[in-house]
Amino acid sequence: MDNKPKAIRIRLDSLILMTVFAVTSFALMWTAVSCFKRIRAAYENSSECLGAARFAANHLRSAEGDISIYTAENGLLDKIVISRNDGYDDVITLRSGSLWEAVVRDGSGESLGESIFSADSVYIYSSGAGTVKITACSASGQEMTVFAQPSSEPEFYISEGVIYP
Amino acid sequence: MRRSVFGKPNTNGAIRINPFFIETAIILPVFALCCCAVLRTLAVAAQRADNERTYAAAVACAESWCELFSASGSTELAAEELFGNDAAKANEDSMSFVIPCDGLFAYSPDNGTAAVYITESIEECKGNGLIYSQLITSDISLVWEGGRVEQSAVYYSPYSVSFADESEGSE
Repeated sequence: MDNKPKAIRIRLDSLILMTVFAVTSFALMWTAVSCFKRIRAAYENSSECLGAARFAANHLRSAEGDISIYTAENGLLDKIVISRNDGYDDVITLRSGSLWEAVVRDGSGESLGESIFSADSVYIYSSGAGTVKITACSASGQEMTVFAQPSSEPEFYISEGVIYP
Repeated sequence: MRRSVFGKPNTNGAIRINPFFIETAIILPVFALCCCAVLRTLAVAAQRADNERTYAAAVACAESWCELFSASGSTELAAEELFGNDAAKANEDSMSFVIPCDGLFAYSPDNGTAAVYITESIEECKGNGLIYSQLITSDISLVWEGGRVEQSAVYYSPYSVSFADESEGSE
């Protein structure tokens, strides 16, 4: 009786086909995941940009008191201070790629508050007919522009402590 | 015995099919179908993301137009602020005009893939035989291949002096 174990023959052409198939599948999956990530980032960036611009615009429209806008010389936003009638100020700050909102006691020190929307940079300019032009830009280069008419005429100040993106 | 791509014939005349041929015939079409499905899904997702970005730009443009028109009552000023001097000058003194734009609604007269339709109407406010003000309504429609956004804005412009309504007298 022949007790020798049977040798397992692996066909070379099957092995090649399987290797090619596996490598191509991995490459296709990697490409698909990369494309999907870029598409999702582009979609989120446009929503966040519009949200950031509208957030600032809505606060300016609904301001109860004086509005002070601190920007760099090129219009890059540092912060917006909106005084309320209850002894507190509403402070909107652009830091670390986000718009932050805080409610601080009038005249007290700065508080960053909570991050509301992602925006790499926000530019605010005075525009025609008493409106302001707000442009929010994302890190990927997308930008959204919204015009708003503040409830009271804002005061623009040049801020020295602006952090450029 | 002769070999062929399909297999080699057995001693009794039947052909033993080559397994490599079976693998190739089954796996390659399935793989091709999967690739097509994945690529198609990615293309649809990219188109949808592009459409969402255009929609966001359209909403921002429409709201900005309404804000500017409500503040100024001037179509020329609103067009100049939103679309630039060239767009405003091309449509001076018109009650109804079209501005060709790109996908992000910036003025693009040569390569427009979207369009902004603006119409203006004026209604006089009358009372007790007097005309004392006018209501200027501006309707804006932003149209692109994947959708449409419409908004209206109104500007109230009182006259410094009221004057008699001649149309009532003639009736």
